[in-house]
Amino acid sequence: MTRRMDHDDLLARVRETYQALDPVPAEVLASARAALAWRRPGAELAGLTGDHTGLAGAVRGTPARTLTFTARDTVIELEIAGTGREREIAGRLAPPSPARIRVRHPALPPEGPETRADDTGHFALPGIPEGLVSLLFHLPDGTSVVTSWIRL
Amino acid sequence: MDGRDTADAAELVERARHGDGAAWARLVELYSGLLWSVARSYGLGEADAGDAVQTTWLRLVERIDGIERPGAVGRWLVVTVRRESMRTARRASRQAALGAADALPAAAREPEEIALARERFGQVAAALQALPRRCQVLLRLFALAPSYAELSAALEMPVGSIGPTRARCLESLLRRLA
Repeated sequence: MTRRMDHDDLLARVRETYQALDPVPAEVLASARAALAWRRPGAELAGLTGDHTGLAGAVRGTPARTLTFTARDTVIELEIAGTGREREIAGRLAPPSPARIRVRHPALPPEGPETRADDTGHFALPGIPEGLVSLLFHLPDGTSVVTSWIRL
Repeated sequence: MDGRDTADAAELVERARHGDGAAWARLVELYSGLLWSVARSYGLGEADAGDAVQTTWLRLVERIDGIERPGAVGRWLVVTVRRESMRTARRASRQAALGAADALPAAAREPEEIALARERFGQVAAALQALPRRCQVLLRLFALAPSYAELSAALEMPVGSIGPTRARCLESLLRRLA
């Protein structure tokens, strides 16, 4: 056997060993396959441009986290409170605009919680489970904006 | 294996952009083993590694229309899972520092088939564990990466220097198995 074949054979055993002893868990594969269903081709992506945690503005003495998402014409600011299993989100759209808002969360049904932003662009989402979250905004002009996924 | 973009990956991304679930499932099948291995190589427990991998696929979904080189999607995924793994590790330690008892204890996952596999692969596993950590990571990722392009992204090494390092690590593993 040539050295080259020795190495290929050995690498195959390394692969088998890791696949047998530390396989990708079935639920990780299932969530990966399910990810495509979260695609919203018509919505503009608002990417994460700020993520700060501090005691300033904190509710009930727990640290508050402030997230900023930026799209071409819209900025979305979220203040996240709560450190247990649930989060409270207080949000603001700039420039101020009413909007219909849907919570996207892999642990919730696809038609997740909904709320509305008022004329000043403010909205509140209490009782959101920890985990991955993305918010989808339907704006009055018929366009929509979706935030990048963030782990709460 | 080579360092070029693959036409296959480009076609799968193009089809997934149009909502083709079968093409997406094929991408998941091609790259999940590598992404999991990268996350585990950052020392993440099962729950955290699962988080990093899940987030990586959701990032691909949100960015899929803007990916400039669909043929290099494997590399893009690897860079993303590295960033998500670092972020997860950082969040875990910050929570610990804040004293929140939130950290999910990873359940010991040892079903029977893994116990059996441990017997069957015990010798190779023991030899791997005796290698320097850098070699363990390199061999694991090398064994699971579809091509050099993903590998060099995963290891932060230029493609040209991977070959010699791989050969040294394999020789060292062979000696321990002799």
